[in-house]
Amino acid sequence: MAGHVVVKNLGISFTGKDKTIWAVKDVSLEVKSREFVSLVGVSGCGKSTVINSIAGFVPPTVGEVTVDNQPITEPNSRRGVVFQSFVLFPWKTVFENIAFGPRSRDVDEKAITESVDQYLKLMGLMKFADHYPQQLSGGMRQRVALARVLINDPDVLLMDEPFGALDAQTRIFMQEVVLNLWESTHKSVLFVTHDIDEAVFLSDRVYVMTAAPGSIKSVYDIELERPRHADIRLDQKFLLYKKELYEAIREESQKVLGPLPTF
Amino acid sequence: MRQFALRSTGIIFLLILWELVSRTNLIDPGLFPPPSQVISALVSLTLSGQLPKDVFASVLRAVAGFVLGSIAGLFVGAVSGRIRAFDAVLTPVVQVLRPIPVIALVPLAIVWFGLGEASKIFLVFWGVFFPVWVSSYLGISRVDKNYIWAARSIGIRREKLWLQVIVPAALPTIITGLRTSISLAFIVLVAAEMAGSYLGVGYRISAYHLVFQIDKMMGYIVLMGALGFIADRTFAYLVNRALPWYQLSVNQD
Repeated sequence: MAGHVVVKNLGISFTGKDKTIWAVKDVSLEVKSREFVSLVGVSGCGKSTVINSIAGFVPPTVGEVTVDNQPITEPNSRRGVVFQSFVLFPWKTVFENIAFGPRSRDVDEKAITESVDQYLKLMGLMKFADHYPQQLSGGMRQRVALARVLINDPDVLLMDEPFGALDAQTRIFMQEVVLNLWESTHKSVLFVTHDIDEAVFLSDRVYVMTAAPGSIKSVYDIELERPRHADIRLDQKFLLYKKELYEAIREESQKVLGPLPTF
Repeated sequence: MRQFALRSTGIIFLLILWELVSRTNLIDPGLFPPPSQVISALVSLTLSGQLPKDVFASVLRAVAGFVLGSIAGLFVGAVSGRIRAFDAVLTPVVQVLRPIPVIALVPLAIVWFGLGEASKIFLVFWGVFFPVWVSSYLGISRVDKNYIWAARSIGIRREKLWLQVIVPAALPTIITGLRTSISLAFIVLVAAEMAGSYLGVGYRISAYHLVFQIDKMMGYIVLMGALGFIADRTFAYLVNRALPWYQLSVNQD
């Protein structure tokens, strides 16, 4: 089974003007094949850096990152990335954006059309094939971005706060879209978010990061039944997980934001 | 249509005002001929065949200089914007030459290339090169790295990155530079033609000045404005036809 991600003692530093800044320090985590794992932490803790490293965008300074025992040296379509800002190509139509991957691999054009159509249908975007991304709403753009990645049939899906730019209703809708997709395809997913509710709802396991420079603070196995539906949010067990995570994150956010001001 | 009528009102009003001011002899009509006289001068110059020849000569020089200058500017900007070694060698050279106002080079161009086509084309080339270089350099060197990351993680091969991602991502910046260069091309051309030539719109403006035929001179000035307007509109039209996404990207985000 493919898509087994292992991050071991990962540290990434950037050299500033006259000092070295550690974005993350000593991060170890694992996404087993077909698992849905979330990484939560306060903003600036280096969550995205971890994703960028697994994607192959940023090399580790120390430690190692492997997928199926292979160290990562560069980006690859086996590991699809979904960005918070969508990063669709504005010079390509919805169809062309989704077809980008297979076209890069010189797949037969007829096969590309069939498979793009299939993803357009799956995402409810059939009518928008010839639109440009700038003409779509945020939720639709993120569905295009998902389709653009899924069409390559990756082993691992790396999602970097994918719904951070969406309004609350669209966000909940998209969470269910992703959950349904995951339940039918069972890819390994690493999902970065700062939304605790989202992390508990989606994940098999949640890693909480410390404030910058980020390392892993604690791990929670989310033992809720699958398939999950929206109403699970009112379940007693769900709320207990939320409470635990909330307390862990609050400790970290206070390190960053300081104590509450008194009036 | 309503929009068009509204937009024309101001221009029509300006023409009527101009006609009235010079008819009432408020200003010496010899110095400030009314639009009716300028238009009739333009008509007779067209019928005599002189004006079409001038327009043809000027447009040819402008287009030749613009095309050559743009190609050079795009190319040098692109390689220095993306490849470190070229950036280190070429950028200082460009930065040293760029502050020289191109008009200052007119006499030198005439000494080097004579009064014929070569000096005009060279000057337009020179004038167009720098703004296009700047836009190409900035556009290419500042391509959002997320585009490149996204493309790489979808599986694009390195050698396809240029055409598929880097160039299109830089295009909005480049197009702005090209459009600025069109009006610049005409400014440089007029200066070059005025300084010495036998043919061309700029040359006529200067020649009629010397023989004090103000109505014909003003006719050619208006013509120059019309040429610039048509060139700009044609460029905008072609861009929108060739890149339907461009307008959308400029209006939003």
